Amino acid sequence: MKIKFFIIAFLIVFISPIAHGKITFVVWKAPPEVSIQVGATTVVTTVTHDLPASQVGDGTPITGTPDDVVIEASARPTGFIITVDSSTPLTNGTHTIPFTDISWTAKKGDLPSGRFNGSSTQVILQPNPSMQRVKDRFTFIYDNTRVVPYGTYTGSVTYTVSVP
Amino acid sequence: AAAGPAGTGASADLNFQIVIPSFIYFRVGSVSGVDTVDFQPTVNDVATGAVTNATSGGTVDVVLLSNAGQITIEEANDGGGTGLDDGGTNYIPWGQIVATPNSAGLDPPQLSDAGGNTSVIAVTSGNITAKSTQWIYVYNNPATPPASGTYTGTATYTASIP
Repeated sequence: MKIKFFIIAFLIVFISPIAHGKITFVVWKAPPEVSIQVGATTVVTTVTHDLPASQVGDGTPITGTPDDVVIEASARPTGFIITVDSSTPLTNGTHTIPFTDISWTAKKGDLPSGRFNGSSTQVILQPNPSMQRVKDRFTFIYDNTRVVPYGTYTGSVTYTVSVP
Repeated sequence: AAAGPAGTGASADLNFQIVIPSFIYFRVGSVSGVDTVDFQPTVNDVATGAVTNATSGGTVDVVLLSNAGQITIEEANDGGGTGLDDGGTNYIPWGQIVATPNSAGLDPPQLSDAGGNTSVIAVTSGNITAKSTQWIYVYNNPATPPASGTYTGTATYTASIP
């Protein structure tokens, strides 16, 4: 019986070894990412300027509805630029109204007020190295300084945020 | 809302809609009130069937502004088909009063007892009509002189989209 016990103990030593292994963890920095929201979060917002017949082309500015459009942009890490493409005019299928007839006022002033210039890369916000996020609310205004043919004119602008 | 890698960026659209209704602005004469064109033919005018210029109000400003396409101007009057009247049973046909524009493109329809004469105005550009002129009225004394008296009537011009 003594011999048996010895054999068993010897086997246990070889079957249950102790070993060490190393695992090295590397955490990469998150890739730069930008995000932008213009108007509603899930659908494309439509700003409507509805003119009374008595005011067509008389210079009375026409405020768009909704008059409170959210513009929010952010970047990781920081320092982003916002541009807008307003190069394709509004059209009723036959006649056009340029986006240069539309301006906006920014309610908070975190983004500048301005006017569409009809280009594809108009800078709305210059890069700021320390800025990670900006948010404001725009009210859009149609000049209404020209008599234009009747109809419903539609069009779109595209806001883009990127890191230069 | 959109997110994306910083290099390519992220974009979001904003739609715009401008609703322009159709309208016609048409003025014959003063901005407010109804103008009066007054003819006082001389005895010789009446006797010879001459043309009498207006004593007052004979040159009338006309303005037409519209974004609705081609415009037609139609004439009518309050004579009930009988012409200008002296308050009794004597009449002068509306056709004896003739208006001539002093610039082309905004011609008046000829006045008539029955009304309904029209003048089609060509657009200025596209669907836009923006024209102004003056209509100058004269009275053609009829060959058969009417009975003496003061004859009155009101003509109405209506601009509309055909």
